Amino acid sequence: MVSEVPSIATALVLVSERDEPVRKLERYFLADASLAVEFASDGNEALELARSKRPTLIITDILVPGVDGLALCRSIKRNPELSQTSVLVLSHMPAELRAREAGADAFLRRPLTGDSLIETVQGLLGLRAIAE
Amino acid sequence: MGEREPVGEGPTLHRLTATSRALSDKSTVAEMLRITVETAESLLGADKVVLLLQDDEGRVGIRAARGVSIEAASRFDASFDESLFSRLGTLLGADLPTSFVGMPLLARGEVRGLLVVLLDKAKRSERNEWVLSALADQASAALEHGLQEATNEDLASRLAELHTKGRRQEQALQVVRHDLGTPIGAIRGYLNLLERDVYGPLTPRQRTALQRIDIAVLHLEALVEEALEMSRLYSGEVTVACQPVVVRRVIEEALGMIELPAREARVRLRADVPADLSILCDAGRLRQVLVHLLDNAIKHGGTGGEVLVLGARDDPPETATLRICDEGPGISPEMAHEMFEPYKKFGDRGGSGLGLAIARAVTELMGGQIGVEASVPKGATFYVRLPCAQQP
Repeated sequence: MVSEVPSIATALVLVSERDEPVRKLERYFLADASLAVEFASDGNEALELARSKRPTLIITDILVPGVDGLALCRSIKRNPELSQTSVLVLSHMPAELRAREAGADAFLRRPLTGDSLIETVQGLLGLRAIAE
Repeated sequence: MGEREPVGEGPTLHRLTATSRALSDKSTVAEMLRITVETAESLLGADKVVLLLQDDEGRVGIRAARGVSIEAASRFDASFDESLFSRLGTLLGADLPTSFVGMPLLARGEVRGLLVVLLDKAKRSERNEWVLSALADQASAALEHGLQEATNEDLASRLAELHTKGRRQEQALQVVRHDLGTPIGAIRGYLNLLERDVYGPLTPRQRTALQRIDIAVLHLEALVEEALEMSRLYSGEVTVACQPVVVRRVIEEALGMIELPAREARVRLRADVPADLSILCDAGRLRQVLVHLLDNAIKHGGTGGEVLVLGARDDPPETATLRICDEGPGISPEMAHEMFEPYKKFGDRGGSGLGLAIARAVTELMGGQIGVEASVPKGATFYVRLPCAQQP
């Protein structure tokens, strides 16, 4: 199978708490040369960075300051220039239905357990690589 | 999760429907919040229910609650992020944030608040999550409705403000209409008597002074007349009678009327209009508009220049455009935008600043358009576009 050298996959992360699973994800990204990760401090910044840097994947909590995670997801999905960006929504709330309605590609319930975050992210990035 | 439902679903659906009806009835937002937490408490058997809304600064407060003291609820203040659940733990006396189930309240695609219930493990079920979800949806819809009401109220009050402003302007112009005429009449009357030596012979210098007052009064009358005209135009009292008019004739009349000022400014007047061009308009009004534009062109065109009047059918030929071109300093884009607004004056050539506003109002009454074409470094071209009369 011919596989081209994948370009760098970038993730933009907007979480209200950097707990262990998130830190683990960060270490995972930093250890891999083909992955890059950046953190935003609020929804407005995330929106700005999304538009300027066009990340491959955005990971967001629902309850974040500025623009909330669901509104952020809607904005990303409505923007034709960001059609290639996947969105993963996290929350303490059982809000998967609402996340999907907002256009999320995946949803994880907090508290995050084990490697669920890393595995979900791998899935989202892997899907994208196949599409390319 | 395998547990038996505590109650049959009939009463639950009945209750949810009743809540829906209550929310879509003209409840206030506060009532809506109360209904939501009460229903959540009874349908879910929850020990505590809390409804949070965020304010414009992103701070979250409790707006309705069951099972929580009013003091504790009113003291609660947190920022809007996922750590909220830990904060709630302290308030609601639960050890783990996982004792709560929360659902976001959405309005206009944004999370405005949360509906949170404290449910012990035995009562956690998919069915309860669905009920909570339904209640959150209903509350969201009511929030949205409340937001819409607020917007409507805001618009209504701004509209009322504009109406008041309009009425005040009308009143001011009414003053002009009724109260200035008399004193101006008195001035003119006495001027007339003085100039006719009724009060004794005048010295040459006195006569000159009176002539200057005369000119000033004429000017004053023109300002009053313009203000009255504007008032009449704005209040819809003015009507125009449009019929097919041979344009060349109207232009010649207009040129005749400004021949004297043109000669004094040493400005040449030229016209190039087809003899058969006929447009649908009120001849007198068109002449009024043209005279004003020509007067402007002469005043601003500088001495010794030329003012050119052109007329031609447009393409498509439903309309025709008359153009008045001067050789003055031209019009900047900002001026072009503003100059047809009432009371905008440029330079200090006198006038009330209403001339162009009146010209525009009159032109539009005749179903036409007036404007100034893309500005060039030198020279301005004003245009009047009107419908063509059918070919005879």
